[in-house]
Amino acid sequence: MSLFPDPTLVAAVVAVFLQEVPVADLPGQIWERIDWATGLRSGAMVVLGVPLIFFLSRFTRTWATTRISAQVGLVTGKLVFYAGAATLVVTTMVELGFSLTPLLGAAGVVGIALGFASQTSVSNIIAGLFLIAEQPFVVDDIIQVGDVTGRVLTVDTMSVKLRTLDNRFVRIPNETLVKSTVINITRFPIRRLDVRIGVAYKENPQRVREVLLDVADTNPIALMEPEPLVIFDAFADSSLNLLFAVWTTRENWLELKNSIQEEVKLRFDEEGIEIPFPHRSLYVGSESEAFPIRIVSDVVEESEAD
Amino acid sequence: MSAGTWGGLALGVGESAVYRLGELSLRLRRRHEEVWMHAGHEVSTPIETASVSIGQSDEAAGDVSSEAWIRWAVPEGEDLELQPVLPDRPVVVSPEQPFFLPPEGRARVFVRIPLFVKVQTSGEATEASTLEEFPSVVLSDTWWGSFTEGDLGYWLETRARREITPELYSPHLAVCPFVLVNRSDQPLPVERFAVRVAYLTLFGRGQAVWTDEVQVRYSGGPEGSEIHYTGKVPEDAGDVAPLATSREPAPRGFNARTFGRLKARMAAL
Repeated sequence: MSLFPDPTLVAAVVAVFLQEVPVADLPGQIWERIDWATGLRSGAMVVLGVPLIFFLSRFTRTWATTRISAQVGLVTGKLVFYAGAATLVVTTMVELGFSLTPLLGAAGVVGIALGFASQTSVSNIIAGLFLIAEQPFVVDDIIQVGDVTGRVLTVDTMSVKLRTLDNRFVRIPNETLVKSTVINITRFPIRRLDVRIGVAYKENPQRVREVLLDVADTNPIALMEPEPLVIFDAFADSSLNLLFAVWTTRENWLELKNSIQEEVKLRFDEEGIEIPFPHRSLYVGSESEAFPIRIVSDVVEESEAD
Repeated sequence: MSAGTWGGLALGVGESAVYRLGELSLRLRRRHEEVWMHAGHEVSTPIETASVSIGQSDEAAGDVSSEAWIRWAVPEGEDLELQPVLPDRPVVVSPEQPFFLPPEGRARVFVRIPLFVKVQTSGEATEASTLEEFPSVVLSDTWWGSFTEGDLGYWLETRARREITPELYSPHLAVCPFVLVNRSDQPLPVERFAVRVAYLTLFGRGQAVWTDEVQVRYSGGPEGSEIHYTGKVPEDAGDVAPLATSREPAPRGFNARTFGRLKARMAAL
């Protein structure tokens, strides 16, 4: 038995794929061998099989979503769909009298051609398998990839679909995700909010620290533990720079970002703590002497007196 | 209302009421088939006694912008009822002055937990249904667990008293007796401990509100502590009557992490 299929059959199937030859012209005149009973049986398989596959796919997806996770539900639903579709196609063809051996051989030849043409797709599919196995994120997580931030809608075999926070749809190929740095913003239940604050050099850093910690204490959604931190960051050009780090739950992060910065501003106003604008001191001649200023009117009077 | 704090609150159509408990000032209005509610908190001046005043007009409920009210559709035949409940999340207790429990040591401490006010309907023909819950004291959030998993809870600073004194009682604070036993061979630092208040039952008499006793046996190691909720009136409470059942049925005994703290400084940079 030859390892290779009949070349004429391969050529015929390839021609069918290329839509150059009608299916009815396949060697062996298969259509002539199909009787009414076979046709009916095949038709019934398709008519019953297609809805059954859709039903099983949806049922599996719902079951796995409710019992395991949305991610697993999505994947198992698709697996059931593709496996069912492949099984239906094969059994229908066998029922119709097609011999699968030459077709599989032809598929090998076609596969090589398609393989070269679909390197990117295959790469995406393999990357998708890694994403599903590794699970750096799941459906409903909010992730950041490059400049794009959004909620994961689906993790498919070829790509991941996101809904951005301003409600745009973004499709990212799986290969890109595997190669890129992905930040999962909602993976952990608590997040830290970093607020960078500059205060004037005349302020007492210890007092500023106490005021900031008190602001965190009185904000109900700022977590008391992990405790808020105030870190002296730098002696900057125009200010003492502090890092005010407060923890909250991932759901309250945005609310805390708004509320605590407003509270810091109001509290600084109450306490008379200055948030300085960038400023620069100019000296002429000596750094210890003030810049000399003469009033123009005085100059005029002096010149008139002369 | 029993003892002026809990119980039914009959409001006729057009009547308003102001209910004060702890820092809470709860305004209620009855309007035909509706009940309107508004909760405010005076953080600086907690009130040690509960009070309720009913007026005929909306002015009795105070001048509050219409957006701040919560509206509920309640049939005219149904009255309102105010019930005490413990907070809806675990409470993480932080003693003002942490203490150590020596190996094989035992300590009984009293922690005062702020109550929530549950507003529910009460009708002869219908079952009571909860409308809203309001805290008598606004507690800050805190996290109990690790950086990757845990529970959201309320933060409560307490003196963790070792004896009962008259000033212990307040209508908006439930006294929770805690028995801590250190069965490990190491001193136990009591800096923070978690109280799963959903399992606690409330008892009351006059101004005094008590919960059942919680017994915690610490054995060291990561497996947590063995916790037991007695479900009975504590021996120090005297003659008290049941006020409210627990939010969830208390398990007979279980192990859970009870002591410890989450240090943020390591994660600061």
